[in-house]
Amino acid sequence: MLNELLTMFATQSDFFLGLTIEHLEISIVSIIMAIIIGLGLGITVSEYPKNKWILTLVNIIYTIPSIALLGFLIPVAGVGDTNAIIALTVYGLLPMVRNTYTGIKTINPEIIEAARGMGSTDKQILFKIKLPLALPHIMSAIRNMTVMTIALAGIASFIGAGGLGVAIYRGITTNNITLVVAGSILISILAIGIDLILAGIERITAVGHSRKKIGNLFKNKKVIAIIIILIVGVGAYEVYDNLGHDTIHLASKSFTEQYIMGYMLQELIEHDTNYKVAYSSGVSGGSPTIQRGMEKGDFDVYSEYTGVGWMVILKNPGLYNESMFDTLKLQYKDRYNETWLNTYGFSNTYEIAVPNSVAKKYNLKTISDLVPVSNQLVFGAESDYFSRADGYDNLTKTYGLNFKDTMDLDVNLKYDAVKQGKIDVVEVYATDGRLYNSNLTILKDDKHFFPSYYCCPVISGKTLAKHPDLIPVISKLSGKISTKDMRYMNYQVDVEKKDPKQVAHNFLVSRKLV
Amino acid sequence: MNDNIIEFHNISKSYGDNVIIPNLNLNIKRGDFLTVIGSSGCGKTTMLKMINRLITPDKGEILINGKNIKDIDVVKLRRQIGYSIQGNMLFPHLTIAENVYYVPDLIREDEKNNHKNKNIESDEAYNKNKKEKLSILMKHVGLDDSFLNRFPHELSGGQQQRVGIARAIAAEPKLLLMDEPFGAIDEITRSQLQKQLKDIYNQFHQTIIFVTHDIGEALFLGQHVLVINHGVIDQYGTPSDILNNPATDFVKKLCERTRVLIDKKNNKI
Repeated sequence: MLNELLTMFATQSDFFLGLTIEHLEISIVSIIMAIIIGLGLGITVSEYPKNKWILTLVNIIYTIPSIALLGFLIPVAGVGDTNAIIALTVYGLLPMVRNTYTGIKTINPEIIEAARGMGSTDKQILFKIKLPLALPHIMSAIRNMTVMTIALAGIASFIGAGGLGVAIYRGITTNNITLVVAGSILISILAIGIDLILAGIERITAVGHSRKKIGNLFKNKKVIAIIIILIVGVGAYEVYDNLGHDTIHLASKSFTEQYIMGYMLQELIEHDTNYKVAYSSGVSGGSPTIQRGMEKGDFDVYSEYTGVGWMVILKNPGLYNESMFDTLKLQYKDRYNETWLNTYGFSNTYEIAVPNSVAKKYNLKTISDLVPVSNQLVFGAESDYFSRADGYDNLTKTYGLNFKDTMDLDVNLKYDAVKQGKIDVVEVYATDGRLYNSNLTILKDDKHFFPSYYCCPVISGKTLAKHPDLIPVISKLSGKISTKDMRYMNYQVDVEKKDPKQVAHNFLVSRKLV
Repeated sequence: MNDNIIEFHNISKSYGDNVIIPNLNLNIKRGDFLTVIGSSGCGKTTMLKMINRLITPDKGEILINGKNIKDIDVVKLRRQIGYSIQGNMLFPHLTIAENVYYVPDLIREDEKNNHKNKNIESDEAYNKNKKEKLSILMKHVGLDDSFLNRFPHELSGGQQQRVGIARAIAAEPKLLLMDEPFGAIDEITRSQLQKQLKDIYNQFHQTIIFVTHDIGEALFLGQHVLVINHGVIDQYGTPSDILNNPATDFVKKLCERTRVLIDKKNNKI
């Protein structure tokens, strides 16, 4: 494990460094905002008792599960960094507000009365007496909140913001534990490192202990100059980085072939054009979230499946087949001003597979061939397959199948169950990497029961108007990737644990596209 | 100008059904050192805090130099009144120097903010003056200059109390309110502090209103002593008046022990 981890850090150092910087950016912006807003609210609550409802409100908000909060914010803040920063800031408020309030309220009231009796104004009491005395409470809130925010920023990737959550989430969705561990370790290191720095600051600011040193630090012009140069430098770099390049925002959903397709598009676009590509990899919430991001202009391009677009986004009734592609294109154009380009060539539809031995034994080639023998066979699939419109009930009805038994299985356990002979017939995704060199025979869907799920690039209309040269570039991939190709690429990532970026690159090279 | 620095006219104060002061009328002469004595809960602290408007009376009015305190800006009013209270009410996060010079620094800060274009003392001159004055103030309360850069928690209770007095007189107030400032310190330190306070009074002759529950302290320090019982004035007179002609049983009881001590000293018993 340790070896794998070190190799991963060594070979993908750019990937991890990029994520770490993003993670820090998102966290630090959120932390600073939470400190400023939280202090303000905390002061308001403690100075004016009638504002105590604010405390209750932030308490309630704090109890909203983070995933739900991110979801609520999508219609308002879209997907990406803004949404993540708002959510993290909102979470950071409670510790800040509560500790500021407690810090001020636990000051000996006689000290405050002494200050008032000597003729301090309310403002002077606040800034000269209350806040300095509440500082230990406030500092400990800042420390808690910082560690919490850095850890919580790990979920930012769910809504397309960057950060180390990207590594963790990708690790989970591609069944790569090393990647999950790597991302988690880096988050821990960040959190602990920053906490140590803050602990140092806390020691300096403790009441009555060399408090002047920190004050003098900021009076020192050199220190101020260095801080300003740093801030301006970082800002200038960010501006320079984005200047002169138009940025294309690319998104992918959170499963292996989507990661690969994202990297493929990124490399192709950066290779053929001067555009810079910002790639939000593994946006959770899938199609609806990304679609919203496309509408809001957060994303320019992503890869979608025809059947999903038809049912999930357009919400058309009935099952989709490829004769309806023109209708699909038209409806997308009309409703969302988005353009579908021709498919890459692979379809990630459902398929029915049986072990080679079973296929041989009963001479099975199509799903219809199963009809006479189905009562001797056990059928296995993920639990949601048993409740879908294109799922088990309609499948058996359409073909007239009558299995001996059925079994709910986790997607990752299906293949083991087949191997162990616990199930004889299994529902699979056509491009699943685990199908590659498995001993499974895929049965032909001779009654065309399964909807078609061809994968196509989708581009927002605004982007196309601005950058029409994207069409020929992206179209280079159309018809180039067969279902078998995709299955093999998935296999390299899921089973051989290769880096999806590398796999995408290798494919482009092998097809002489870069 | 009126001889009275403070006048109470028909002042009353109660908390719910609990009447603290039923109806108080009192004149305090400018330059007087008035000690106020009574058992705890008798309303003496309430009376004191009404003067700097920390407590608002239910009825009646209080005049300072003939002017109703309600008509004076509360911050200005408080800044010209020195205020010292029992216990360690120094600001723990400020050095001794910052504590002592708290009020002059506030005044300076406001001057800077309010008169941006007018000629005010330069920072240099102010700081030089501040250093000299701090040194003098420390001498008045019997502390060494080396304390100035320390923090309150590094000082003993008695030393903190001395700093409290220095803080109260730092802005040279014409009126000084002291609420049992020596309540929580040992006998020997207390008598030293009492002497020092008397010295300060003899030098500056500001008006001092000094609340205490120790009759010995009241008689020793005060030019006049005010005995309050349940918010009512039992007697208002010189220490010898109080000792020799107690007006009520309460005053008599209060003085009994002191009289015994005096008699003992004079070998009468």
